[in-house]
This record gives sequence, C-alpha cells and structure tokens, in this order.
Amino acid sequence: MKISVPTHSLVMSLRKVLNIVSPRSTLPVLSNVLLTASKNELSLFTTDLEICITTKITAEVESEGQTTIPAKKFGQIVSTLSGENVTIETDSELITSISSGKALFKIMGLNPSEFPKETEFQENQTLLFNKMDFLKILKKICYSSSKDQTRIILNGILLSMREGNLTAVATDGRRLALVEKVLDNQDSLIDCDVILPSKVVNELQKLLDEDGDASIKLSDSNATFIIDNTVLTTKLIEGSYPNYRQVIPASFTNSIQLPRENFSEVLNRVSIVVNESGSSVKFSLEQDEAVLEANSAEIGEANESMQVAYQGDPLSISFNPDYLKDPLKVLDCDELTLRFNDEYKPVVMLGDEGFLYVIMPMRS
Amino acid sequence: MHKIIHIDMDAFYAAIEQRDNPALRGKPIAVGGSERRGVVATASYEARKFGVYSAMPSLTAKRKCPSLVFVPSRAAVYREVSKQIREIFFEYTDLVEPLSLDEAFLDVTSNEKQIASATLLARELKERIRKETKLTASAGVSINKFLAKIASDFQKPNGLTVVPPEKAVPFIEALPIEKFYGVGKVTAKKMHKLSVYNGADLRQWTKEKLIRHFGKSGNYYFDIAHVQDERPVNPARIRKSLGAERTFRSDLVADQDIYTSLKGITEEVMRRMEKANITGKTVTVKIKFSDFRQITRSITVDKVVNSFDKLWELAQTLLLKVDLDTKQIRLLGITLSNFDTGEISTSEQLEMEF
Repeated sequence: MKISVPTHSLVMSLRKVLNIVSPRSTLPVLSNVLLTASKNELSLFTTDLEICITTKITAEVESEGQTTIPAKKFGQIVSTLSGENVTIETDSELITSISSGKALFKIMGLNPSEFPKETEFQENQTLLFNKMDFLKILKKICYSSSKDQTRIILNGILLSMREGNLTAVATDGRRLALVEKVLDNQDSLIDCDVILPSKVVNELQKLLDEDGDASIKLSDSNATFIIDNTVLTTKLIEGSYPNYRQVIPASFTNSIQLPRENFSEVLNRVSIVVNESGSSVKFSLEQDEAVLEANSAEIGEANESMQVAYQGDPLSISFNPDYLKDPLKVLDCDELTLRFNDEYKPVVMLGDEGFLYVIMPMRS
Repeated sequence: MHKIIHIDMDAFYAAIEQRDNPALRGKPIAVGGSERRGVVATASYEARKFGVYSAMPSLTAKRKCPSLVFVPSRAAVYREVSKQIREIFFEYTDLVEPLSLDEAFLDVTSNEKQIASATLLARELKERIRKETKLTASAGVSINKFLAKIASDFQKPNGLTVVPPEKAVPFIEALPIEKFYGVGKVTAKKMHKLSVYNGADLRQWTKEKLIRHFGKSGNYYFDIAHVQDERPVNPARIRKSLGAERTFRSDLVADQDIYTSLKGITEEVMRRMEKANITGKTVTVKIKFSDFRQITRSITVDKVVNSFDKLWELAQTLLLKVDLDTKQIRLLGITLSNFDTGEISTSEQLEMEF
C-alpha cells in the first residue's frame, strides 16, 4: 500500500475514529486502526467489538493495500506533522512509513487479517433524518442519562418509534428528559424501541456537525448511522427500558411561566453558595413571586426573587440545582413552563417544542 | 530528635454513647451492628471484659456477652466530637495527623505553648479532652510515630506512657512481636516460626534476611526494630481509599476458589469500612496473575456502598468483567474509594419508581 493524503483531512478523519479505540482491549489488534487503500480512497476503521466506525477520505492511491497501526500513536504523529500532505507506505514486514515534509516515521503494525470484520446485519428499517435536528434531540436529553455503571439500561438513551413519532428519552431515576418528534418523509415505519449506548451518543454528537441528511438502519440488535463519509455501527443495549410514561404526572394543580435566561441566571447566582453535591436549592412560590434560596453551613446563604404570575397557595420545593440547570443550558425557548402538584411530587418543565423534563424534588 | 504524641480515645463511640445516655453507663455496650447482624464498631470496656472487640460479628459478641446492649451508631455526633478534640490539638501544634476519628499523631517538637516537656503536654491534652468532652484518652509519648503509637496502647484506658530516647531500645527489645504496629496475625505466626517472639529477637536479623522472608515489609521491620522511624507527622494525610488484599500461597485457578477468596476479602473490607466509619461510591478489584501481570477493574455507583451485600454484588460484577480463562491468580484485592464526605446532607433526593 502506498498513498498520499492532505494532512488536515487525515487529522479530521482520525479524530472521528480514535475515540472508539478502547484503552484496555483484550485483543492487541483492537488498539490499532485498520487502513485500507483502494481506488482513490483511504478508509480508516476502528472497533471495540461493541461499536465499529469507518470513515473514508479521498487519497492519491499509488498502490492499493491494507495494514493496521497503533491508533493513538498514529493520531499523535499525524496531528503534529507540519507538511501539507502525508505519505503512507507499508512494506511486507508490516512496517508503515509515515512521511510529511522532512519528517519520517517507521511504525510497526499488526497483520490486517487479525482485525475483526465489520458487523453486518439485516436491517428492519431505515430512517432518514436531518443531522442538526437529530443533534439537537441528543443534546436536549443526553445529560439526563445515568452514570451509575450498574444500571446499564439507564446509561443509554431510548429511541422509541410509535406510529410515525419518535420519542427520545434519557433518565437516571432522578430526572428524565424526553423529546418527541414527528418523523416525516419516511418510507415505511415499524414501531420499535432501541437503546443506544452512551458512548455512541457521545460520538454521534461529534459526527453530526453540519446541515444535511443522514440515515439510521435499525435491526433488533444493531444500529448503523450513515453520516456523510462515516459509518458507525453499534450493538444496542439489550433489555427493556423502564416505563418512563408512569413517572410523568397526569395532572397538575399549578403551573407557572418563567423567562428561561433570567431563571437560569438567578439559579446560577444563588447556587454559588452550595458547593458540595447533595445540597439543594429551595424554590418557593407566593403571590406573584418566586424565590430561589440556597445555603450551606460553611459558606453562607443567598436568595433572589423573581416576578411570576402565580395565584395558588404558597409552596416550597427543593431541588438539586444541577438538575434544574442542565436543561436550561440546552433549550432554545424564551419561556419555560413549570408544572407541579406538591413539594414531594415530580415537577415537569416544558419549553422547546416536543421537550419534556421531569425532575424529582429533594426532601428537606 | 522529634517529640511525638499519639492520642487514642478510649472506646470512642461507646464512651460517647455512655456519656450521652446515663442508662448505658457501667454496662457492656456495642456500637454498630444489631443483635442479629453486622459487626461491632466499638465495644465499651465493660463489654471488652467479656471478650467483645471491634469488628467482631454481632452474633459472636452476643454469645460472649448475653447482656450486651447494641446501640445504633451516630456517625454525625462522633464526627462532631472528633472535630472538637482536633481543635484542642491545633491550639498546641499544626502538625496533627488524624488516623481516624479517634486517634491522631501530634508533632510537638516545637509547640505553640512553648512546653518543653512532651510528657507534661500530653498530660495537659488529656486533661483538656476530659474537661471539654467528658471523655478519656490514652496517650503515648516518644521520639517517633511507631513508638508513640505502641506506647498509647500500653496502658488503656486513660493511660499515659512515655518512652524516652534512652529507653527506646530496651522498650522495643521487650515488646512481643504481635504488638508491633504493622504486624498482623499472619506475619506474627510467620515470625514465631522463625523464632522471633519479641523486639530483641527481631534485632538479631539483618535487613537482607528480613527482606528475603517478608519482601518489602522487611525494610520496615528492620527500621522500626532499630528505632529508625523517620516518618514525619503529616497533617495533609487524608485517607482516600480503603481496602484489603490477599496474596495466595498457591495460585488460584478454580472459579469456586476465586469467588470464595474474593468474598472473604469483601468481608474484610466491610469490617474495615465499619471500623473507620467510611462509605464510598467507587469499588475497585485488583488481580495479579501468576505472571505478575496486574489488572484493576472499577465501578462507580450513584448510591453509597454501605452494606456487605452491595459491596459483594459490585465485586462480583467486576470479576465478571475479567477474562479469567485458564489464568492463575496470585493476588486479589478490593478497594473502596470516592468516599462519601459524610457531610450531613439536609435533604434527600427523591427517586422515580423504576
């Protein structure tokens, strides 16, 4: 194999595939990236056996071929090269020469035949979506997924397709974020639920960086995302997602509207005085006024009031401040709606079209 | 020459309970555990007469002392009293190294009150503690941490033992090997087999010989036997993890043996957690294979790990992540870290029902 590619495009492509390489893999070859040169393309492929990703770039191919080299080192080398182009050449001893400008590296590789093959599966259906739309959906929910590694299902996010609607859900059992969206321009839709691993959700957010369309192929156990020149295939998390509908209260006794940015600023200010996790901020409602209060034994206290249209009975609810802040950062709307029953019942936040957030209060 | 004081509160948790509840005074009590499960965190001196000790399973304790009263642990109160005592220490020196809630080293070589005699200073500290907390402490005074620590244990409760520089060698020579700090049951047995019964026997050995028999620890045994303990009192020393590990005489191969051993280590870690009154959110399993390759696997959870069942469940989960195949295991260990700061959170996060 001998090829030449623009350094910049190689750096960008490597960035897309490097994160999939697991730092501790059981098979040594999994620390490598598989390089394949054919026709006028170079493809880069990595996998951790759960997720695999391929991305292609245009290259000047002098001779076709394949090799594998340590991915992280390759990334380090390429990102520091100053020449405009990189030439990559492999010999029969599995040694890869990487040269650019006056720099020359000879890197030892492993046999490409040891590399696991790309997962192939028969899809049940294919969805088309706008990249920016899908990115926004992920951003609006992903922070809510659980970080508790014993709750594998809640580590992922749910994509649920029902009668032409998509519901994306993430929850850690303390708060839940959900976005609903009508799927239009689709060929045929089958109802199904898939749970994407959190690693895939993170990687997708890096890949969905510009406008245009992308597609998802789904089967019962796998999903493939085709985004421009990049194809990411993942195993789905097995198991059934908890019945998230049951935590959304059916009715509320009260509801208020708040300007999102102002509420966010007040919340950030007041919560300066709480610094350890486990502390709460108190949100109190009185006639036409909302007050946010926080205090901590070591630092002191803070409170700030906001005008709101509220006519109900006085009410105080305590929250983990982060659970309130997180959605405010990713919403676009000017006005938020908070709906509640009493101080220990779940509170619902509404804002952007299709977005719903449920937050469990703290008991003082 | 340094002047080091080791202060060790007498039956700390139990003494606090007896102080706060007159009905418990003079009675054998156990803090932590319950009649049926758990382990004793601290036993009152009355209970110790029956042979009840810290980290003893409750059932055993109850058998040894049928009149034993189990008192639930009040961690927040113990922390508060511990803080109160530390404040007293800080009036004398900034060089305070707490080992746990109930013991600390103080370097009083130069102290705020210009008290030249460490013995007088130790007496004053004990008196202040007694006056301000109504609790007694035992103190050890000597020229290094090792001797001060052993000394504080010499006459308990309410003791004060001084090992002046000229007495250091005779003191160590007379000290039974199992009393050496850092020599556990297993090492003591091994020492006995090698005819080492006290400090004098230990002093006959060369460093090389000790290292040959005890590995890295040989260095430490040699140094302390020769009064060479230069470890400074380190005020910044904060415990970040707590664990236990075991090296096996013959490598483990069978799954059954690996699980049994891991369970034993889990029990040990749980005992230490209860003793130190610590809970945490990250559990790490360490495995060393027969080829000395070592791996660790860890897991972090949302809710604190505070029971044997939870710790054991996580330890097993971690073990499942390791491809054991036909590999032979030389060492297994479990560590708890990411401690719950114990800040008494005023509010409790409510959870969804799934």
